Amino acid sequence: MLEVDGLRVRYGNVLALDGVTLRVDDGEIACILGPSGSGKSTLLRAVAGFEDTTRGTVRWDGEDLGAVPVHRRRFGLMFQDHALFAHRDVLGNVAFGLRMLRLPRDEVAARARDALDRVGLSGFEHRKVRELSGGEQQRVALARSLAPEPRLLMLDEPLGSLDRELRERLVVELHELLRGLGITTLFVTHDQDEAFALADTVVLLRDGRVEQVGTPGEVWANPRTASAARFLGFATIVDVTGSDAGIVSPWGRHPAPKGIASGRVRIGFRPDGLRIDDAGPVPGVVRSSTFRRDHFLVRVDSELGALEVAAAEPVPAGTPVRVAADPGAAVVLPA
Amino acid sequence: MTVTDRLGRVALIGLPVAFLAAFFLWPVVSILWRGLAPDGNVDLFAIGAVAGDASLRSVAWFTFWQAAVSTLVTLALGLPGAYVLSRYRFHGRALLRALVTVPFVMPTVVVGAAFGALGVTRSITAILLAHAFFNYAVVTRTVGSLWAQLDDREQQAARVLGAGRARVFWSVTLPALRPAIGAAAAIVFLFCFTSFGVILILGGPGSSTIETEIYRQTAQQLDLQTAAVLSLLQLVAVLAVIGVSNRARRRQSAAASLRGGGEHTLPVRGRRRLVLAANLAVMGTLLGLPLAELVRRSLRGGLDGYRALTATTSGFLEPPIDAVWTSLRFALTATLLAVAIGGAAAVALTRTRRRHTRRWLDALVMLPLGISAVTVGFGFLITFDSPPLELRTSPAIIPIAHALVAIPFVVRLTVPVLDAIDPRQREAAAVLGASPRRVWQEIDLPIATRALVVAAGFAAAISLGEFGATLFIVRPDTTTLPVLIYRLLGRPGEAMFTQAMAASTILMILTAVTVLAIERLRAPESAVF
Amino acid sequence: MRRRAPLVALLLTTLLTACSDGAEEGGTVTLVTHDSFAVSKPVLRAFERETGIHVKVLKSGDAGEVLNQVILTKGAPLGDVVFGVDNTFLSRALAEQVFVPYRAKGLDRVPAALRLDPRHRATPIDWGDVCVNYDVAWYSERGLEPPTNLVDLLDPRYRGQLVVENPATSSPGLAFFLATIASEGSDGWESYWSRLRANDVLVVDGWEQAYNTEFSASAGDGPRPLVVSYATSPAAEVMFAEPPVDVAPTGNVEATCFRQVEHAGILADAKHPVEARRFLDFLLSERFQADVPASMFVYPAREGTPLPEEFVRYAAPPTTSLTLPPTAIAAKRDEWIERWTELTLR
Repeated sequence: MLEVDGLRVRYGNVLALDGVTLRVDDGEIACILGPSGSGKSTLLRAVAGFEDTTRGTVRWDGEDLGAVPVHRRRFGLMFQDHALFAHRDVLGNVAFGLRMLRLPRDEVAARARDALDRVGLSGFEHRKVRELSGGEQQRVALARSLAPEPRLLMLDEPLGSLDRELRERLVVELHELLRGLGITTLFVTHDQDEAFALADTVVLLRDGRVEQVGTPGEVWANPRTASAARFLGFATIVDVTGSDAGIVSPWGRHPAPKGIASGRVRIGFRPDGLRIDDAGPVPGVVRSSTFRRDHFLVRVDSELGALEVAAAEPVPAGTPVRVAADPGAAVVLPA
Repeated sequence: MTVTDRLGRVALIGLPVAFLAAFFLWPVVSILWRGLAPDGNVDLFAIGAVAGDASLRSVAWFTFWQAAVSTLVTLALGLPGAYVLSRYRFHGRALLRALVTVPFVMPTVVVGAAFGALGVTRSITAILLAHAFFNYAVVTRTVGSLWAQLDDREQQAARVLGAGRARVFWSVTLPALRPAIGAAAAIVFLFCFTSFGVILILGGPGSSTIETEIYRQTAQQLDLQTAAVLSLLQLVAVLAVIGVSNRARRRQSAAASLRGGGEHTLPVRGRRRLVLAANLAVMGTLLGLPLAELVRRSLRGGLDGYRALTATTSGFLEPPIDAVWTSLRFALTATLLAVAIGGAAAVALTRTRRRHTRRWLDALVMLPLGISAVTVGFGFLITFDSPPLELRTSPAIIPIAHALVAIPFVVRLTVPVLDAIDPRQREAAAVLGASPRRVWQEIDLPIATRALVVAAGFAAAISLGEFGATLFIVRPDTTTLPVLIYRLLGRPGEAMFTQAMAASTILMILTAVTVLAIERLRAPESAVF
Repeated sequence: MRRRAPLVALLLTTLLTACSDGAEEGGTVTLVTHDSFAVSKPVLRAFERETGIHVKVLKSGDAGEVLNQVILTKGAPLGDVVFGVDNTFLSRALAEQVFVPYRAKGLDRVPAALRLDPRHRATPIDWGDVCVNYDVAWYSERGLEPPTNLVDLLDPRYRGQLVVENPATSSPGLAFFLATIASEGSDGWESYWSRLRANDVLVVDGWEQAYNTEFSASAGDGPRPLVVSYATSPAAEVMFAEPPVDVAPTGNVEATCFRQVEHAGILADAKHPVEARRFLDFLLSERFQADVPASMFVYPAREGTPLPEEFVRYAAPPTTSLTLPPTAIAAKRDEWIERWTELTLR
């Protein structure tokens, strides 16, 4: 069980991590999700032991790792750019961690082959890493991290550098693999799809702080801050006024979650929560229509601000429209 | 960091610093102090009189301008060569690259004889051409290595934006190469500034530089005071050049790391044939002709010259050919020393985070290239004069002197490679359970080894051809190949001259084979120097 | 670690073997000398075998450099015996008191003219003459006579034919310069050199360039048929000719010859004074003296020493030679050279 408590890392004048606290239970897959610059990689590096922490602790099963050097933590870390050893072949890369364990030669070879087999790269043992495709390199990196059976596997944007189609396929494979192994995993990504597909727990990180922790479902449905909401696809966020009677917008009355006080609040919609409808209460003028895979994204200027609306057909710019919404699709956020 | 790691780090810096302090700084400081303060007090008045001497000023001026012009000539001839050798794809390119390096390690006596035989002698032209001959490879290697890796896309972008060929060269290619050109220029300048044999043999008796004056004042006149003042002047100039060079190199590593990808070479077609032919003509004339002249003279009388080297001639205790083995033995020792110490210095340089430590260690390592060999040699005499360091009369002093010259090259070859190792590779190894020492062993060492092998070959070649430093230290009666050549040249009789040329040819072949062998191992990114 | 161990071991053994010579049971003597010192192997081995003394030879540079090194290391000498101090440097060596007196066995066989130090600090070992050499074929092809003395060299007939060495950097160069002073006197030499310069004399830095590059005979193929070299050079040209010849291709202009007498001496504070004396005796012994001509191309100091056949035929010692007293040389040398440099090179 990994426990990070009040972790703070400073680079010169920049506070890269500002009091991060989180917990990953045995066998759990936790995902740090956040935009670039949010401190995700720093967090992984701090847990791995590469960063000097200004304050806070990293514990494993209750043991403070502050004085334990990187190579004794028995964690695995897969780097974003894989950092494969160019001067070794595929097997040499995968066997590296096993050799560091001073295992007998036969065992090293056998377990390295097992790891390669697990990622579907049998027969690639003596290929040079330079000659591999991006996807193959990613698998070698994964096999290399897995082979010594680390207590905690950390993945830094594991699929980040791959093209979309490959990524979507590998996400499934990775999910099955991690579940099958039951290994405790902490990975970071800026890609929500990846995060929600793989994680048991999602940790939203922003500006070096944890914004929200929850299951993918909770986080997906109920971001707790405006920035989290925006990051998770609530593209339209408008200011409204709340009162004891509830939160009322032009689209109707929205159920107020606990803790949101009266006064000024904000509500957010994903594009599919809004629609172009002549009966809609909010008038506006179309600024642009953009093709998205299964819909058109229509941007509408209204007195509430810019609205992003999903539509089946493109709407010419300059067309006056009205925008309707299902009040239940909105998320209510503090101002 | 564990205690052993810390000890290891101290040893890394300590080994080169101790070696250079003992075998370079101590002797040099001792001889300078003897000159500046013969009776324990510095005689400022006398020093001022020497420094203010008008003829010294003219010597200093000549030293400066001949070095500057030599550098320009070398660059003008060498830059096109660097382009062709790094960018064109043609048969025999690797061989040519190796051959171009041979002049760099030839002893001056031999080259002087070859130039003289070609009628190029006793003039400033002879000095300039000889400096270009020796330093051509410095330019092709330093600049070529960066040129080979230049990203074509920048130039293509400039062409697309409407720039002509010449314009692209001036505004895109040249600025990108500037750091390498700057570094090469500094090294060439340093060599020419402290050049000794070329000035004495090819300059004619009228020309003297700070270096030849130091030699005359020390070895011939034993006027240590004048020599010390001159040495200090030289030291200041050399430190300034090293400083400029380091600044240029710092910019180069920053610039080079922005570029990725391997070498892009161009097939030789159309106008490129002409460019290639022109460069081959320059190489053939400047480098090939003198070397060919040596071979031609060695073959006068068929193979007699070579055969005579295997027989015991009067005046030689051993058959002259034994000098080959002596040379190889010293080369091996000097190479091991230079690689061990230069390698440690390179690792220390790349590991240290303190800028000042890096800068001073780097300057210290480079310094032996810029300090007169006669100063070091005479310094040895008054320092290593009592047991257990009665080294001045031991054969061990020869490989040590060779190593002093080779260490800067080892460092120059190894540092860029170590600098280029992605720190992420080290981290990946650490997280996989490798201790810092294991990380060094598993990541740095295999990568550095290739660079060190290249450096070792270079060190061996330098030791094989080293003559300057050897001349000024007391040598037990062990004859290296360059010393043999010198002795043969010093005796009357045509056969002696032929034998000297034969020995020179053997030295040339030994050098070419060594360089060619290491060229095969050369890491493409490792050629800054 | 394991992989580095053999490398370190190799390094250490090479260094150690390099350091650990000398120090043998029968005693050692260290000879400090110049690059031109040579002795045949059997001769030296015989001395070692008979006396049980191991001889270590240290070489460094030319005669002037060796003497300067010896002066610099007074008090902690490089070795026990110095060989190669000629009469142009002798006074300097004696004034610096680098030698201790020893009257070597065999000194009474050396002609009095060669014994320049009555206190026996420096012992004459060999002598040789520096002379202008001429290219025999060059003159005979043109039907010309070679010059016969120093004054001839000023004659327009010999214009542009002579190459000499710089006395500041070359020992034969210095000898020839001193010959002109001995001949023209301390008032006359400056005008002699002005006229020599007007007659297009060429000055180069060292003998190697003069003889191997500028001289028309031998390996030189150069343009100049007159060169300052040694009286024994013609003999060497026969002994090391390609193909063999029986007539010397070069000859000496005898009246230009300047005599150099090479001395040896025992260093003050020598660590092995007893062995040093034995070695000095050896240098004047019949065996070493007989080896001198073929090894170093100079004449033995000991009278009655047989000369090799080539010497007898092609290198008969000049009957008269110019010379100057060592004290005069020591007193004026630096001044003369400086004046010469201004006169000839600037």
